[in-house]
Amino acid sequence: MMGEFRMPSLGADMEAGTLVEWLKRPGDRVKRGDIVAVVETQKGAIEVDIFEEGVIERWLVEPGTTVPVGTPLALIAGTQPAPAARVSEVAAVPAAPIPVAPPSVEQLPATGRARISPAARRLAAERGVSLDRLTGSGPKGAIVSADIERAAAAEPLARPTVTKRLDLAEVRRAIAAAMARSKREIPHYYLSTTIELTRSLDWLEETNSTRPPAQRLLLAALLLKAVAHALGGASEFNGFFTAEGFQPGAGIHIGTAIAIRGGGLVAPAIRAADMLSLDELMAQLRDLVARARTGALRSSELSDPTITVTNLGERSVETVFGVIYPPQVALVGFGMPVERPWTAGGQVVARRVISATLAADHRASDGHRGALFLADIARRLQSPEIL
Amino acid sequence: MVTPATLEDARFMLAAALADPNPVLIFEHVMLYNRSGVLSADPGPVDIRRAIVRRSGRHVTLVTYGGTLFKTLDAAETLAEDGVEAEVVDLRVLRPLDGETLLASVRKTRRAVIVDEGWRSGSLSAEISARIMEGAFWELDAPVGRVCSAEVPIPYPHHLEEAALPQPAAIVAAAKAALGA
Repeated sequence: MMGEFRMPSLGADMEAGTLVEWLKRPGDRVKRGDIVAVVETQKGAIEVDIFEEGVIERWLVEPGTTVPVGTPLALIAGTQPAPAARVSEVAAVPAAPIPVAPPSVEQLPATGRARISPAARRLAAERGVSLDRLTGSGPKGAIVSADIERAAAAEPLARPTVTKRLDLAEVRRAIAAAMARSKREIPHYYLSTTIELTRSLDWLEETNSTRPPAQRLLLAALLLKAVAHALGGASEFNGFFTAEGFQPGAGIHIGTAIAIRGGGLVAPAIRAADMLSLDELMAQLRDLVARARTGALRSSELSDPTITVTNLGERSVETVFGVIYPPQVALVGFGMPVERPWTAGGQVVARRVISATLAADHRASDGHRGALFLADIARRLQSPEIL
Repeated sequence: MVTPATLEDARFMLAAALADPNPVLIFEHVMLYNRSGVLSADPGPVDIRRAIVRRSGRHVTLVTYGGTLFKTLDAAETLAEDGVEAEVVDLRVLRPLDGETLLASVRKTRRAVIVDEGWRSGSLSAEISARIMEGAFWELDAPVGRVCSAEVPIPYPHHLEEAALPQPAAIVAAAKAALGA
């Protein structure tokens, strides 16, 4: 069987991506989860993992090429030997709003190299133009610099150089598109509650007192865990709203909003957060934050968060009313833990509390369910030892 | 070693050569003696160190000197009728070669055709081609072309002599080959 490795959708706002480099070569055996390629998106360079098993038969797209989401990038031969499929038979490009030429459908002649002038070769590298789908106009059909200039003019998406650094302007544009869509399409409702945090914070201090700094837990991990557990009984907040209506998520993949230095944010997923121990969750959180800031996130982490949690506690705000990241249907926000007068047993006492908010999509859920969900999070934070 | 091709160069290169403290060889091309023209009133002293662009263009550089300059200019005129803008570089000085002027032109047009009455083998055209490879390889869109004399003693009968020497038609063909036309 012949499969296709396609340009993945790394978020609802992504329409096209640029292949930066191949990490596997034709002939390499790949299995589910292997990182096959690096793709440049508005969110930076993302390592793309594969979901199939087999052998890479052939690359269909050269590094530096920008193609719409869904475009086949490589052919994957299954475990059974299959006759080499012709590229032209399988290189169907799905309907895409961006006019980009289909991937290479012609292979270079078997004998000798393609005729490409030195000037053209250099110019193509500078402009990021893929040489393999050009027809030459020079001597004996050679590709010359004028052909590259024509191709570069016809291919405005190709960027001159693909860098691994995040393009903050691109990130800004991506956020603008997603957030504007959210406010345009999603009827948000907001709920807020104050959660007593004494038991959680005491438990954290006690647990951390015996640990080296690198293994200490942060409050953020406790909050994420409480949300993950609460989502187990509140599936209408965990999933996507699509044209067919609400689709519950297959797992509980919590997108964690991480600010990028210099501006912008990403929300990569901690996958199956309800199945992780607190320590595992903390380790993943550290890893995600580190990689988000260096722009080395994986495609599966960006593509499928089923809910987002944002934590602005470090920024000294008490309450955050979030904007849902489409096509998700809910966003849980935590503020800064603060000491406040609190009544317990008829007495006014000083207690540390945190504000928790829920922004949810009214098409998928109602305020009553939202209130139960928030209350469940609050209840779970009173028993940190079993989180 | 200088090779005057125009009236001004023929008239004033001698003075410049005499003014130079080093020995200077002036190669006059015998076939140019038959040409006539009016010397401009006061062209001033000529530079015997630099090549010169005799015609400006952007598609192909035709490199020549001495006796073939006017054939090359004729070829450039023919090319212009076909929409090809050829740049003609008159080397004027064969040693030391003015690589700067030559390479600047080749970098602009990305193509070069050398026109030389010498042979291809072990000749000045071979040296110029090598200089272009060394200095402008990454700027080239086509292999360097050459229009040279047939590698035989120049025949005496006029029609055979004409056939042995570079002619405008061959220069036009070589320029078009460099353009892939």
